Amino acid sequence: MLLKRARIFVLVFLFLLLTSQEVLAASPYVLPYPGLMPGNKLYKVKQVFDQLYRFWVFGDFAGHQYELKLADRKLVEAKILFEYQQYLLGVKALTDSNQHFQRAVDYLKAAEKEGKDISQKRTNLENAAQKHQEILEGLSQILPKEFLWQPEKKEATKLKIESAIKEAIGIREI
Amino acid sequence: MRFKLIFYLYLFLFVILTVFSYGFVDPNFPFKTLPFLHQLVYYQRPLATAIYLMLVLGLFFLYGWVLRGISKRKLNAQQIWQLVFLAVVILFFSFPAFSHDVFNYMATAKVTFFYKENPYLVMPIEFIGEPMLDFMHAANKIALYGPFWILLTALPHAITSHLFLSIFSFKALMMAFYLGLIWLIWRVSKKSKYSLAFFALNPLVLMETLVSAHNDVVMAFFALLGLYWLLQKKKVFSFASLLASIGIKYATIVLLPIFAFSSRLKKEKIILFSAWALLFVFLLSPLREEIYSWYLIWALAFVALLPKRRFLFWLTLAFSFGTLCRYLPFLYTRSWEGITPMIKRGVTFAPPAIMIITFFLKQTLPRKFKL
Repeated sequence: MLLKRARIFVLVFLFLLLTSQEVLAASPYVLPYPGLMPGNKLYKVKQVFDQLYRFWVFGDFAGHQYELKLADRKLVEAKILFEYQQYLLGVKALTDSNQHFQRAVDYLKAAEKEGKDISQKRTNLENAAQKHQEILEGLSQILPKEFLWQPEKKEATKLKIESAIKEAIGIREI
Repeated sequence: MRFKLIFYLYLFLFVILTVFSYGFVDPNFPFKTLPFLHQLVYYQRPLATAIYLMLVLGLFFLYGWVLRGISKRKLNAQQIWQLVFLAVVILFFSFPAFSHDVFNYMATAKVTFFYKENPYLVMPIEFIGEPMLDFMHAANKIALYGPFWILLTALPHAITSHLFLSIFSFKALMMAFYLGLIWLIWRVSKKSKYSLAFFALNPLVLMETLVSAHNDVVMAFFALLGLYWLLQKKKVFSFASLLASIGIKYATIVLLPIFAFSSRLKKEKIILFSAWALLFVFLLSPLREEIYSWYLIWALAFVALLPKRRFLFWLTLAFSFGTLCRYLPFLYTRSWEGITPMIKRGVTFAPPAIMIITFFLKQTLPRKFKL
């Protein structure tokens, strides 16, 4: 009887051990649904709208929110594009995301200089950075270090994917 | 003799209302009220409810008396203006008792002009340590009003940064527009005492504008200024003014088609359609949130110009009374939940329902049975 119970216990333990995934300090930050993706005919319209919306945004907090939102969205775009092996567009989206993230940080620094309490926004930004890094580290496991992008009737482009991802992770070290 | 009595009764009611209003100072407000007033409003709730009801009834009684006095030519224009200025001078010092909206105006102005942030994107709650967050009731909302309103609030915001004094700088803005609006009513109605008193001394207008400092008079002022210029054939000014009105609280957008086709309409029809359109928006307001008493001010400003339209007169009067009674269940229970919403609906619509039934009975019954 005791042996039977011990066997069940070991089986349950092994089941849990083998099926559970190890997640270290996963960020609770939720990334947005990206909507229209690069390559879609209406993507340009979306970009124009983003540019026009920029005129509506003033103030450090509003600027920070706007830039962080775009940094998030572009990162998700980059992730999906990389997963579908659209490396050229993926690197472009990642570069855009880096720029927006950097601006989000700059806006927050400017707000702090103006004497605004940025503690909550800093925590949010740190969570965002952590989530971004998780995504980027996941991508670095599956992506090639370099890739030669060879479009039809055009010159090839050498994409340094590994260094792009390392740079992106570095920007998010705050 | 009659006017003196009315004057002193108004004086008495305004002073009581002003003192009573300080019982509604939020416990988290940095400036404390007199303990007995706080005790009265927060703990002696049946008594506070009774005082409020007596004040409303008293103001309606005097209002009726004034309107009757005007009809019987026993009151002159100067006397009506004296009552208006009495209301302005005393109620200016009242605390915005029945609504927190003035604090929202102040907070939005602060987000825009002090923190230099876009109030349509950034909420007051995002400014940690902001003293207004302790007692504000809508800190987690972005700006609800139009850009022209926010621009106008730069003025009271610039006058003082002191929290308590700021309330009065905002109240001063409302009072200026209240006076501007009644001056317009006076001009458009060709100096009708009845129109002047109908709007200026309406208890709902007094409570919601001079006590609670709602910005609806500002929107109504620009709408009526648009009408004033429209009647003077100054179409560009008229549309600019209507746009300014829309840029305050959006509701007057319903006047655009009326203004656009005004050349085909007579003056009375323009005013009549405008009054009905704004009354219609007021009645539709539950679709967005709920009927707020101060929304009636939009229509009242136009109904004041239609003294011969008895149905509109009585309907808006009944709604004025009904919507002011919406505060009663809250004063009694200190809760907006539970039975309060049901009573609010009941007291809002019961007076207009009674009025409509009475009105039609008077119209349809044979003369000998008339009420």
